[in-house]
Amino acid sequence: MSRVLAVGTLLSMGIVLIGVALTLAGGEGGPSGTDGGFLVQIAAGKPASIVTLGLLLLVVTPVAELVAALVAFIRAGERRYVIVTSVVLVLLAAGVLTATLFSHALGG
Amino acid sequence: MGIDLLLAAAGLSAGLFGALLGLGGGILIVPLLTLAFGYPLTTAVATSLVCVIATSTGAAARNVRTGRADVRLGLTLESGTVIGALTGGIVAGFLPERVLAGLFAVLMLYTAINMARGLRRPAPEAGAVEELDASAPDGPDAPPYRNHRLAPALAGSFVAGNVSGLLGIGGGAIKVPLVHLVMGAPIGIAVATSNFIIGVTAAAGAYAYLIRGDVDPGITGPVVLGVAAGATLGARLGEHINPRWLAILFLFVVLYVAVQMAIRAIGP
Repeated sequence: MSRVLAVGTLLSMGIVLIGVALTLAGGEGGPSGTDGGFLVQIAAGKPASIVTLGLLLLVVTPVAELVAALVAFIRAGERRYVIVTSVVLVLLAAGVLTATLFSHALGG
Repeated sequence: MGIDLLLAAAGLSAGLFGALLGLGGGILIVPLLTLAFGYPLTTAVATSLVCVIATSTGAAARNVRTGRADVRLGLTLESGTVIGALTGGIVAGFLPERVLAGLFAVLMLYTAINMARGLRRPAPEAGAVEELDASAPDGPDAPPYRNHRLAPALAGSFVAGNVSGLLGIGGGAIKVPLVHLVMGAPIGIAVATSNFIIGVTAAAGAYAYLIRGDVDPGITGPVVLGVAAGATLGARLGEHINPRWLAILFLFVVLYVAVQMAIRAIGP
C-alpha cells in the first residue's frame, strides 16, 4: 500500500508540475480564478485545469490507499482492521457525497 | 515566475516542517499565505487543506514502507476522528467558542508541560524506534503501545474531529501527543502515524473545496509542489534526527497553538 501512496504522489505532482510549467510558458501570471467548479475548470483545457486535475488526483490518493489497506487486511484475515478500515471508508464516502450534493444544491 | 518560486519555497518549508513533526503544515501555510502574500483567508485555508494531503502522502509513502507509521493504530484512531468530524458541532453545541478555545489552550499547555517533563527523563528512545516494528500485525510481535490506553486515545480523536471544523485544529497537534504521551509510543512513531492519517482526515474537506471551485490552481499549484518535495525530504530527515530534538520542536508548536487558542478565548 505504500506503493499506492508513492505512485499517487508522483503522478499527481507530475500533472501539477506540467500545469504550472504550461501556465508559466503561456505567460498567464497570477491567480487563475476559481469560477465554475472543478469540472468546468478541467473541461476548459487551460493550464490551470491541468493543475486542478492533478490536485484532484492528489485528494483521491489517501482514499485509494485506504482501499489498498482494506484489501491487505482482508487477505491477511485481520478482522478487526477490516472493520475499522471499512468504517473509515464508509464515513469518508458519506462526507464526499454530502459535499457533492451540497455543491449541486448551491449551484457550484 | 518570481511569485511562483516564492510560493514553492513557502510550500517546501511547510512540507519539511510538517513531515518532521506529524503536522499538516497548515499551521505555517495559512499565516504565510495571508500575512506574507496577502491572499484572502478562504484561499489560504483551501490551499492549506490540499497541502495537508501532499504532506501526508509525501511523507507516508516513505514511512509506511519503512514501518515507522503504525497504519493499524492510525486507522483505529481515524475512525474516532471521522465520526467526530461528521457529528461535528455536538461539543460546540454545548460550549461557546471562547470557552472551547480556552479549554484547548489549557489542554495544549498541559501537553507542553508533559512533553517538557518527558525531556528531563533520560530518553531510551533513539534505539527504541528502530526496535519497535510499527507495521507488525496484532499478536505477539505487535508494538506494546498499540492497545495501551486506547479508549482515552479514541475519545481524544473523536473530540479532535468534532471541534476541528470550529477551531481549525484537530490534526497533528492533537494526534501526536495522543499517541506519544497517552499511549506511550516513541515520538518518531507518533509523528509518522499522524502523518499517515491526517491525509485521510483532510481528503473529504479538500474534495469539498475542490468541487466548489474554491481551490485556486494558480496559487495552490506551486505551493503543493513545494510541499510534496519538502515532505519527502522531511520524512527522510526525520529518520536521522534525534527524537529529543523532535520533542523540543514539537513543544514549541504546542505552545504556539496554546497561545493562539488563548488569544481566541480572551481576545476581542
